[in-house]
Amino acid sequence: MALQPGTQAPDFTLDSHSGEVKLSDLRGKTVVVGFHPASFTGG
Amino acid sequence: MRGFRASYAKFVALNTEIIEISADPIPVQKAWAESMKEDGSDEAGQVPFPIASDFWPHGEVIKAFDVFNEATGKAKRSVFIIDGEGMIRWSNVYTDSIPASGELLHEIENL
Repeated sequence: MALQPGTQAPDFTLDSHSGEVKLSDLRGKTVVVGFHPASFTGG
Repeated sequence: MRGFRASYAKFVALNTEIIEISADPIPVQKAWAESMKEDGSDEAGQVPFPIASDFWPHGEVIKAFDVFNEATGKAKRSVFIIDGEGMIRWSNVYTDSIPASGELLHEIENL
């Protein structure tokens, strides 16, 4: 079951198509984290 | 994904950033971002938010959010809205639809 509202989001650092991204670097902003099964597919 | 990009300015206007994640390796993410340049749906032709790779250790972040599909080794299509203090405020797993920017923007406005 996906993490639910009221849970602290696990911090992460990942490489991306445009460089490294770290969730906690975005403190103070709302962040939409979207997961998708496979790139080149819908959504 | 394309919907997020088309609505990106509206997310930014709400002090919101987007991170899109899959278990695909970086070359795939780069190729996908490159492929989306061609449809010209934003002025710079770039995907304006990171398409991140959770390839190795495989699916580590996906598993941390508990949206890893053990049968396929891929992420379940899902969205988490995280507030400025790192708290998850909204989440949804999509089984037969894709995330709708309008719904997410509405949820963010109501945080």
